[in-house]
Amino acid sequence: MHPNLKRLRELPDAEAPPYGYGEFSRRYARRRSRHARAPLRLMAVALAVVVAGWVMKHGLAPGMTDVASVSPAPPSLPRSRSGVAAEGAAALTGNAERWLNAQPRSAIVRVPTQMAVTELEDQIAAMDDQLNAVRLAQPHAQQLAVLQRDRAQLVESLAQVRYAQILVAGVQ
Amino acid sequence: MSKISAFVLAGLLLSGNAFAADSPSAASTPAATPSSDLEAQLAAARQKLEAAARDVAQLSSQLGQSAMARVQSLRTRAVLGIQLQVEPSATEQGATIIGVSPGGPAADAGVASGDVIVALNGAQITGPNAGRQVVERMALVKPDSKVTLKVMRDGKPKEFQITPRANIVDFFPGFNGPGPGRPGGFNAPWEPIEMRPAPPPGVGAIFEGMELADLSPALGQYFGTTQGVLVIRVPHDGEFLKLQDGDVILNMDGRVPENGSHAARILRSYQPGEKIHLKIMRQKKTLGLEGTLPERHHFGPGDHPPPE
Repeated sequence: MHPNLKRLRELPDAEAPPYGYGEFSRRYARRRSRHARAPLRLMAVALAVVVAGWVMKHGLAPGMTDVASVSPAPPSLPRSRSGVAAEGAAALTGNAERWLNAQPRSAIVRVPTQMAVTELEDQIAAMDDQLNAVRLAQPHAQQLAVLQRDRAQLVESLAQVRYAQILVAGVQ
Repeated sequence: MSKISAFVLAGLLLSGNAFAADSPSAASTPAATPSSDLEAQLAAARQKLEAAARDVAQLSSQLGQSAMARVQSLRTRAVLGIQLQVEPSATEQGATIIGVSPGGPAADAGVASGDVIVALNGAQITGPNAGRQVVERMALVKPDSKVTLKVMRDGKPKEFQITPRANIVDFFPGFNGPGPGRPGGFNAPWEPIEMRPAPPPGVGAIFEGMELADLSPALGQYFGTTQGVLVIRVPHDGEFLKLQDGDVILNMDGRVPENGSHAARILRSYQPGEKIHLKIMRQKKTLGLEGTLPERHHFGPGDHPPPE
């Protein structure tokens, strides 16, 4: 036997590899997905910092405010040629009323504008009172429709004035 | 963006452009910095936007008044600001609220559409004519007195304290007689009662420039009172009121303003030429002021005082 061959045979057996190809593939895939998620984690952290900053500055409670930036525009009502359509006017004001009811009361008011707002609010309240009375007195449906249409117009005007008021407060 | 917001924003932009043409500070002060020029334009645009909003409110109010006049005479009445289901129903446990007036007394107290009124000032509201019962009971309530409303919401009872507002309403000459809200109820004979003039349009111009703020507990401690509203700015022509910036208005002819909005509502009830008595806190001392609202101001829609 060739001496070199003899020396080779006397060498100890090679150690088994720590893992096979399957394990290698699994670990490679895991490392790739970890890299892919890193930007998402960074974005989440950045978002959390921004939200925390906003909360520290503005607070969590939706209380009184005079800032317009968090207030979306009021919904508008479909119009007919003569203004707000009489048909289903009561139903049409639903969105505008929800928007109005969601607005926080201003802590600071400019008196002449607020007078105009309160006048509209009081008229709408009076008209609702009137609508109850008209319904009880069983009048002509036409009279009811006229009142509902006029009420819808008042609600729309109130939404416009409140929105202007909020915008003005926001630029102060 | 909705039509309304587009309208308002367009108004804001147009106001800014218009100001650039006629503002002395913008046109005749070449040394003005771009930022101060922009600030001046913004201030003027804001003023015009507010003035336009007031026009919208005043014109709408006048339209509303003429609509109401078609069906009513004028009488002082306590108004909650709710619409009721008035059709008789055998299954109703109370009076269902089908609408709440935005900014009305009930809305301010937290009452919501869909609530079912089961008691008013301790009296049970029940039966097929529950809606009618509420209307008739409210006819006996004096404006500005407290009303306790018990409602069911999602099957759970809730109670609200509401201060109804005085308002001009109601009964129907066209129906030749019966109407709710009248002394004697539905069956009383028709007769005109207690007329009062509607406030003139543009009464707000008397208070042009006036700004008020709610008094938070911390501010109240600073100014030495727990109630009232803080005067941030007095009216431009406010000598008649003798108020100063930093005063706290404690009451107006006995009426205690709960917040700035409420104070504006109280001030609105005065007529030009009418006397007004204020109790105020100035530098932690209580003072009484008396003044007469001037008659010379009368700005209608589209007629505004000159820009500041």
